Amino acid sequence: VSANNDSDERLLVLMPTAKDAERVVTGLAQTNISAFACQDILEMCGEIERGAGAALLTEEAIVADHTGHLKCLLQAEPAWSGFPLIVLVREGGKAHALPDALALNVTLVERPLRMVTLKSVVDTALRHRRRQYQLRSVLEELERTNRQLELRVQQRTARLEESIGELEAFSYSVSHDLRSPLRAMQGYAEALLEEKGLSEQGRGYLSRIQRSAARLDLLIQDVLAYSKVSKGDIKLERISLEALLDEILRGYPELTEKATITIERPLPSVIAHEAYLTQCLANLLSNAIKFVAPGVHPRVRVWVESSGNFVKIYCKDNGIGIDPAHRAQIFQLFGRVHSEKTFAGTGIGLAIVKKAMERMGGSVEVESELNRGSRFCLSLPKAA
Amino acid sequence: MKTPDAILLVEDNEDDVFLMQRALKRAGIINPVQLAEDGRIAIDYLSGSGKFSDRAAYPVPKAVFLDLKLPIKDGFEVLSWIRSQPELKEMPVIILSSSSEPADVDRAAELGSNSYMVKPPTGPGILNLAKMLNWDWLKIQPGASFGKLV
Repeated sequence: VSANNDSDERLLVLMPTAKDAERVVTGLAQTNISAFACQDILEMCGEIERGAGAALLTEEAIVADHTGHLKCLLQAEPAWSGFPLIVLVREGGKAHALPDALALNVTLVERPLRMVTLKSVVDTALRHRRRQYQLRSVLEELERTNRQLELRVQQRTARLEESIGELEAFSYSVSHDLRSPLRAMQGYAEALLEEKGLSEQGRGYLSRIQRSAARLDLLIQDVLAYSKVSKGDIKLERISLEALLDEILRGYPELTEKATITIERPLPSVIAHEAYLTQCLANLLSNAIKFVAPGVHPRVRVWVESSGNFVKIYCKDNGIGIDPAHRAQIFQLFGRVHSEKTFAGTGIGLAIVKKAMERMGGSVEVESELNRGSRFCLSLPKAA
Repeated sequence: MKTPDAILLVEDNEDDVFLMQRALKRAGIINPVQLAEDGRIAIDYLSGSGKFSDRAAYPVPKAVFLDLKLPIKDGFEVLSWIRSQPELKEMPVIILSSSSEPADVDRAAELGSNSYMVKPPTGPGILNLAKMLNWDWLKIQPGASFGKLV
């Protein structure tokens, strides 16, 4: 990697007299070092700003810089830069004028000096400077990459926000528009059923139309519920499981009408989203009483166990159980392992549970064997 | 005999108009239903502009059933307009929407709707609503399938 331009390789020279300067410049030229003689410290400062490899000057020149131009300039350098100064001091001198300047990248050389010493010092300084310029290009490259990354993040965020917006518009549209023709189908089928003189077969077909429409409506509502738990920000708060379960049993009276549900109290509080957790528990409970063998009275036991910072809510049933081979499938959208005829449903309920639990920073697991009932477990952060 | 008070139904979908009329019929309600197919027509009707100045043909309604998704001006705009009119401040407005989204329900309540029904409307649903809002002006056919208002 070479320096950016020729001026970056120059040695700037400031001597008490023009003649001294001329002699140094000529001497260094013979050793292939390009040097440039400055009239005064101000000119030297200007040249440093344009770009230079190093500067050679006398102690007296620094002392004479009352206004501190050079010092100000060098102290304001960027992080990658430490401009090399070669300062000639008198033989046996104490370099008393330099303590401040020593914080900078200074090499003191005693006069009189031989050309070979000077060349070696200047070479070292210029090499040093070249490394600094290399560092500068690396840093610039890094900054460019950073800027590009930043830009890409911004673009991706914008695109993501756009898709979230589209998803919201989509679920809104599902809620409004997709259900409207369905409502009409149901309504007209119902109206037709009230007509007199319909054949038994005609009535049968109409009932099937009604049932299909009802099923489609259920599917749409469940997809909508799924998309609702997938989007938007949610606020997690302290929720009393005790109160929430009571609320669910009150809100879904068919649960306690059809099954024996035992809740082992007392129950702790968890950090969750009330609507999501209600949906999860209601889905698990209704599954527990739905998937039972014919003639079996559903029994469900709900209890909790503490596990580190988490609360595990267990829901165990005496249902038909799940073949371990189907364990992953049941949490997928539309994942069903029974025919619609055997057990009605949309295959969305547990997908909602899984998504909602993830959104709340929790998880859902299942342990089950065929014909041995199922045990679902919801893990949620404990409330302090 | 005096004609029963009118109901204004603001609805652009023919099927939904049919379902509403059927629900009213099943509830035994015989009040005439005036129809406005979009938000602009609804506002024209209520303000009595143009042909709606003929109040014999287009009587001022006793209640408005308002869909939210409407062409030209949506239900929210119509509702805001109604509540901005001093003479319509007390007009019962019942939102009749396919949406059960809390955002819609909340916004309708904020803008001053009296009630919110999710479609499809049913006979018993309308009768319950009428009971809740004390609609003594509602004319129920004797012997209607869902009985009378109490």
